[in-house]
Amino acid sequence: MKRNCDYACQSAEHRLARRQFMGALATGTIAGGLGVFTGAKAAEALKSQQKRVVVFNMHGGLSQLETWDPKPGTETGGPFRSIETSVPGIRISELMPETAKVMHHLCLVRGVNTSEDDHGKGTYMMLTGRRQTPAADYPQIGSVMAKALNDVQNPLPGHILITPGGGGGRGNESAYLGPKFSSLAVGGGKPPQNTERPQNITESEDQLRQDVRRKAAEKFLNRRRTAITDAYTFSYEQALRLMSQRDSFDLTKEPARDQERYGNSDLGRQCLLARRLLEKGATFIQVTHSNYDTHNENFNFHLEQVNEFDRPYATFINDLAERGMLESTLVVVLSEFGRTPNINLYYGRDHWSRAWTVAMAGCGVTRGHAYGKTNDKGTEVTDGQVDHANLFHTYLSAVGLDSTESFDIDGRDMPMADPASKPIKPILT
Amino acid sequence: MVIRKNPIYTATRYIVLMMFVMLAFLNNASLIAQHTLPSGGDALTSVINQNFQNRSHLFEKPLTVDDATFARRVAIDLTGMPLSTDQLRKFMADSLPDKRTKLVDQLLASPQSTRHLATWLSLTLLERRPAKIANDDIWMAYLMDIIRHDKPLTDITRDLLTATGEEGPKQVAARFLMDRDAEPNLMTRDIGRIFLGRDMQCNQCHDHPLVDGYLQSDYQSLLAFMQPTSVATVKNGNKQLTLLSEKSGGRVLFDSVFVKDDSLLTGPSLPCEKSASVSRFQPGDEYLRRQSESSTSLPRQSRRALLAESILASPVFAKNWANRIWAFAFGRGLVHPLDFSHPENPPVDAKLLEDLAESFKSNGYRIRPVLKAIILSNAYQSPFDLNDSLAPAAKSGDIAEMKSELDRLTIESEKLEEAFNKAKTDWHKAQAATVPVQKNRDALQAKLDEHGGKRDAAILRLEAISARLGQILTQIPTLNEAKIAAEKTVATIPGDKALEAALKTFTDRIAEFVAEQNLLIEDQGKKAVERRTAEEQLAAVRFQAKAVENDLAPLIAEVSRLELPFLSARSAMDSKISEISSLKNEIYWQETRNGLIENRSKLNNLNFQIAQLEPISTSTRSELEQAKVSITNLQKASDSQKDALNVILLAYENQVKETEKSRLAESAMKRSLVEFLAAAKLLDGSADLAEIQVQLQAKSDQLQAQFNQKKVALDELTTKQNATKVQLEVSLSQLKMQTEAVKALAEKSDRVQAELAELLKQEAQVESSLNTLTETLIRLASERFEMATLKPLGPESFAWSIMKTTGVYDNYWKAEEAALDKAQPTTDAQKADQAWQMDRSYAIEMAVYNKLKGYPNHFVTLYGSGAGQPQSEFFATADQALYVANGGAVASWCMPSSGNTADGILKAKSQQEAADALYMGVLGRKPDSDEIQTVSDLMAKATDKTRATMARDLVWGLLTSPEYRFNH
Repeated sequence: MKRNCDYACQSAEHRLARRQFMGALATGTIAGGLGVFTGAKAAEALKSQQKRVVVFNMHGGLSQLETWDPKPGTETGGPFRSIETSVPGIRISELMPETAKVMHHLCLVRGVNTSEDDHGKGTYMMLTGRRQTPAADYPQIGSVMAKALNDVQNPLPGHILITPGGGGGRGNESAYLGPKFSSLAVGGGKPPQNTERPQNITESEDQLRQDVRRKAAEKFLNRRRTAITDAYTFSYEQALRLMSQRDSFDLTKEPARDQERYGNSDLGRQCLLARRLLEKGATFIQVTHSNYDTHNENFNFHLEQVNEFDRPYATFINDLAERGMLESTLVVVLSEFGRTPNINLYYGRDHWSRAWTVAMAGCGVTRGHAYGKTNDKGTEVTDGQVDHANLFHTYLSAVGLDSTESFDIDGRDMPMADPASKPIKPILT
Repeated sequence: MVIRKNPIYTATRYIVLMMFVMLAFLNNASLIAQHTLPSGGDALTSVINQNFQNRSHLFEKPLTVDDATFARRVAIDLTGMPLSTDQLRKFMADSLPDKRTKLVDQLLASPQSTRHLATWLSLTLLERRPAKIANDDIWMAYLMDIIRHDKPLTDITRDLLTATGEEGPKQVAARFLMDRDAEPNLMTRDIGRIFLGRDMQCNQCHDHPLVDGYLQSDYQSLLAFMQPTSVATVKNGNKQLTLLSEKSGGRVLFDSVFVKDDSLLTGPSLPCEKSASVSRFQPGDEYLRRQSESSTSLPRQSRRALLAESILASPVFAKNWANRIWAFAFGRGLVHPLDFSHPENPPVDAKLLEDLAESFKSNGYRIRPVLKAIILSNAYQSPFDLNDSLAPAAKSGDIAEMKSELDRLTIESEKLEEAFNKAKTDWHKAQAATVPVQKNRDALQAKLDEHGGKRDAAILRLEAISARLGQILTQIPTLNEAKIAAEKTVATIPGDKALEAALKTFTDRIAEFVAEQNLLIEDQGKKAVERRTAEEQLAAVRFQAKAVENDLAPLIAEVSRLELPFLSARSAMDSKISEISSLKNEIYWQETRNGLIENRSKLNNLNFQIAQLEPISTSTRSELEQAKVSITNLQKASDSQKDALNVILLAYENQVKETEKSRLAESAMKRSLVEFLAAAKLLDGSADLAEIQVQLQAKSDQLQAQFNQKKVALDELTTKQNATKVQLEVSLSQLKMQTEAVKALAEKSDRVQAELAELLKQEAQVESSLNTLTETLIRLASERFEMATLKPLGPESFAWSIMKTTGVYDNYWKAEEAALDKAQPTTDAQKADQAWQMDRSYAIEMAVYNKLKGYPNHFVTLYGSGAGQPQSEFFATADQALYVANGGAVASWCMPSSGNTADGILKAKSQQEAADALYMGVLGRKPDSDEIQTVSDLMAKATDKTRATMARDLVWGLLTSPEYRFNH
C-alpha cells in the first residue's frame, strides 16, 4: 500500500495558498482593505519575479507556409516569397515584414505534428496539452497558468480573454480547477461587468456598507477562519480594487502615438490592450484572431489576415522587449493546426496537422532560434518533431514551473501536463 | 479562534483569566442543561448519538447549539433559506420541549424543502449539465414529484439507469444518460461516482497510481454494463426520435498503458463484487429486436437493467445514499469526498454509516425519515465555536499502544497484500487465457449480427411485401369489376370521353397493380433467398460459435473459480487497510487534541508565572527608580557640600593670608611703637611726640583689634571647615552605600526582566503553536462532526436566502397567495382539509418559484461550478462580489419595504430595537453589546433623508459578511 498519502487539507498546495492568504492578511493588505502594499520592496520583488503568458490563438488553422515556414519555389509553396529576418539563416514569409525584424526575439518550433485535423479536437489539444478523452476534461493553458502563477492578491482576473467585442461573462475552460480560473472576456473598450458603483449609492454610502461588512467579517473570522472564509472576504476587497482599476481596460488612456503604432484594427487594439493589461499586472492573456480556415482562396485570405496580424504583433513583441517585460513574459502564437501543403482546386489549403509551426518568444525560451525542420515540400517533419503535449510541457517549463507537478484537487492529484510527455529541452533556456 | 494574542500583561491578568474560565464553565453548564437533547425519541437519532458516544470526544459533554442557531441551521439546510424574523421570534419564544422536532417536521413537509431537496438531487445527478432532452422545468417537476412523495430511491435509480427516452412515465429519467450523450466512458465514470461513490477516472487506462483500492478491472467491468448502450435516432412517422439503444453482450477487452501485452477481459461486475450473472443465449438469438430505421435494438438481456439490479442489490447502494443524505445535512459526508470511497479514505465512523444505510433500507429507501433522524442528532446540532470544556487528554500510554497496534496491523496488511497480489495474478492469468478465444467469439458474433441483421431485414421486407401483396390482391378484383362495368357502359354509350377516360384509368391502374405485383413476387423470391442464405450462414456461424462457446466455457469457469479467492483476498486486504487508515486518523486526532490541551495548560502556567512575576518586576523597577532618584539627591547634596567646602577653603586661605598680613602689620606697628617709645624716651616730653605716640598707640590698638578679629574669623572658618568636612564624609559614604544598593537592585531588575522576557517569548511560541493546533483541531472536529462544519451557501441557497432575508420571497408568496385566493376562493371545508392545504401551498410555491427562478439561475452562472464538474468546490471571485455590490438587484432588495429587515430597522422604537431587527433579520441572532453600539452610533448619525439608505447599507453589510454565507 502507498502510505503517507496526504489528503486535501494537509496538501502542500493547500497550505501554500493558505499561507499566502494569511501572509497577506497579516500585512493588513486584505483585511483592512487599505489597498496598499506595506512592504513596497516585497511587492517590487514579487512583481519582477512574476511570470506572465500571452497566447495568440489563430482560429481556423493558420497556414505555416504563408507565415513561419515558407517553401517558395516548390509545387506546394504558393505565390509568396520568403524574406530575410533579423536572424541570418531564418527566413519567413514575405507577408510578415515587421515580424521579420523581431525574429531575434522569437523561437520557431517548426516540427509540430499533432495528427488531428478536426477543429474542435485540435483546439482542445493545443489549449489543454491533451488529447480529448471520454469522461475526462482538462483545464486550458490559461486556467493552468492562472492557478499556478497568479498572485492571490492580484485584483485583475488571472485568466483574461481579449476578443474584438469583449464584454462576455465567465468562460468554461477550467475543468477541475474550478470557475475561479475560467476566463473573463474583455475587449471593445468595455471594462468588466458591474465595475461601476450604481448611481443610487453614493461613495460614502458604499464606504459605510463596506465598513459594516468588514467589521462583521472581522468578528466572524475571530471565531472560525479557513482558506475559504478568507477567499470569500477577500473577493469583496478584490472587487473594490478592480473598480478602482477600471481604467486598466480603457485604451483611450494609452498615448495617441501608441494607438497609431498598433494600428486601427481590432487586432491592433487587442494587442495594445494586452500590453496595457500586462503592465497593470495581468498574468495570462489570450488574444484571438479569426479566421484562418481558408479552404478557398487561401492566398488572398492570408494576404489580408497575416497582414493585419504582422504589425501589431511585431509592435507588441518590440514594446515588451524595450520595456524589459519580455524577460518575464512568454508569448505564444498557436492555432489548432496548419494547412495542407497541397493547394486544392479552389486555391485553398485544407486542414494539416502533420507538419506545422508554433512560434514562441520571451520568458524561458531561446531567442532567434528555429527548432525542428520540415522537408522541402513541407509535407513531413524531418527533424525535431514535437506534439501538443510537448508544447504544453514547454510553456509550463518556460515560466519556471515543474511541468511534472500535480495540482491537488480535493485530495486528488491532477498532473499539470500529460504525464506521458515532456518539455522540448533544447529550446528552454 | 478562541485563543488569540491577549494584550493584557498586568497583575490582574491571572484573575481575569480565572474569571473567564469560570464564566465559560458556567455558560457551558447552562448550555448543557438547556440544550442537550432528550435521547430516546427517534430510534435512528439515538443510534447516531450512541455511535458518537462510543468515540473519543472533543468536548466533555456533547454540546448543542442554542435555539436561534438551530433554527437558522435547520431552515437553511432543509429549505435553502432562513426563517423570517417573525417565524424565528415565535420559535424562540416557544417553550414546548419538543419544539425542535416540530420545527423539523414542519420544514420537512414544506414545499420549500421539496424544492431544495429536488435541487440537491438534480445537482447530484446532472451536475448542471445542459438539457439534451426534457428541459429544466420538466426535469425539476419530475424530481419535485419524487421528493414530494418521498419515493424510494431504488425506483428512481432503476428508472435513471434503464430509461430509453421512449414515451412513458420514465421518459424524463433518460436525461441522466442522454445528457452524457450515452458516452460509455462518461456514463461509467459518473455511475461509479454517483451511485457507487467511486471516481475511477484514472482507472480507465491503468490501476490507480495513488489509490490501491481502485483497479483498472473495476472500471472496465463497470464499463461492460454500459458499453452496449448508445444514442440512436429512429423514425417515428414524420418525427425523428433520439433514444437510447442497446446492443447485446458486453465483455470488455483492455490493456494497461503501464504494462505491455497484458490484455485482459472482463464481463460486467461492480467493483469488489462477484461478476453479475449474465444469461447466455443461443448464438444469433441475443435480441428481442434488432436496430432498424424505426426502432432501437433491444437485447434479450439488457446490461443496463442488469446494472440497475446489481447496484440495487449491492450493499454499496444504501451506504452511498446514506452518505449523500448525511452530506446534504452536514455539507460533508462520513466518507469525503463523496465519490472517493476507498480503503485509505475510510468513513469517519464505519459503524455509523452501516447503521444509517440499514435504516435507509428499512425505511424503504426514502430520504426524509433518515434525514429527519440525522437533523435531530446531537452531531447535527454541534457547536460552531471551540470552547474550553474539552474532554481530558488521552493518556500517552494509550497513544503509544495505538501506535504499536498500528505497526502490528501494518505487518499484517503486508502479508495480506502479498496474498492479494497472488490471487490477482492467478485471476488475471485465467482472464488472459480467455482473450484469444473470446476474440474469436467476438469475430463470430460480428458475423452473427451481420447475418442476423440481414435475415431480420429480409423478414421485415418479406412481411411488408406480403402485406402489400395482400392489399393488391383485394384491390385488383374490385378494379376488375369496375373495369367490366365501365366497359359495358362504354359499349352502350360509345364516344363518351369521360367514360372512356374512366375506363382507361381503371385499365392503367390494373396494369400498374399487376406490374407491382409481379415485381413484388420477384422481390419476394429474392428476399426469400436472401433470408434463406442468411439463415444458412447464420446456422453455419452459429455452429462455429457454439463450438467456440464450448471452448470458452471451461476457461470462463476457471475465471469464475478464481474470482472468489481474488475477491476475498481483496476484501481482507481492504478491510485491514481501512482499519489502519482509521487508526492513523484516530492517532492524529488524539495527538492534536492532546497537543492542544497540553499547550493550553502550558499557556495557563506561563500566564500564571507571568502574572506572578509581573508585579515583582514592576515593584523592583519602581524601587530601582526610587533608589536612582535618591542617589541623584545624595549626589547633589554631596556636590553642594563639596562646593561649600571649597568656598570655605578658599575663604580660609584668604583669611589666613589676611590674618598673617594683619599680624605682620600689627607686629610691625608694635615694633614701631616700641622703637618710638624708646626714641621718645630719648626725646622726652615733646608734645608732638606725645600726640604721635597717641596716634601710634591708637593705630597699634586698631591693628591689634583687627588682628584679633581676623584670628576670630579664622577660627570660625576652621570650625566651619571641619564641620563641612565631616558632613561631606558622611554624604560620600551614604552615596557609596546607595550606589551599591542601586547596583544590586539593577541586577535584580535585569534578572526579573530577563525572566519575564523569556516567559513572554515562551508564551508567544506556545500561543502560535496553539493557534495552529486550534485551527487543525477545529478542522478535525468538524470533519468528525463534533463541531459544526463550515458549509457555504450554494448558488441557489444564497439567492433564495437573500430573497428571504430582504423580504422579496415573502412578498411574492403573499401576492401569489392573494391571486390564488381570488381566482379560486377557498371553502371552509377546504380550509380544514390538510391535504388540500398542502396542495395549495405547493401551487403557491411553484408560482413563486417560476416568478423568481431567474435570480437563482443568475447566481448559478456566478457562483456555480462548470457543467459536469463536481459542484461542491467552493470558490470566490471578484465578479460575484461586483454583482452583489453593483449589479442592482441585491442592493435594491436591501432597501426598506413593507415588513422586511430594513423596514424593521426604520420602525424600531429604540436604537437597541433597531440593532435587534437588523441582526435577527439578517443573521438570525441577537446582537451583542458592541454590535448594538455600532448600530446605534450609525443610526444616530442618519438624517431623515438618509435613514432609509442607512438601513439598506446595514443590511447589505451583514448580508455580505462571511457569517451570512458560512454560519448555519
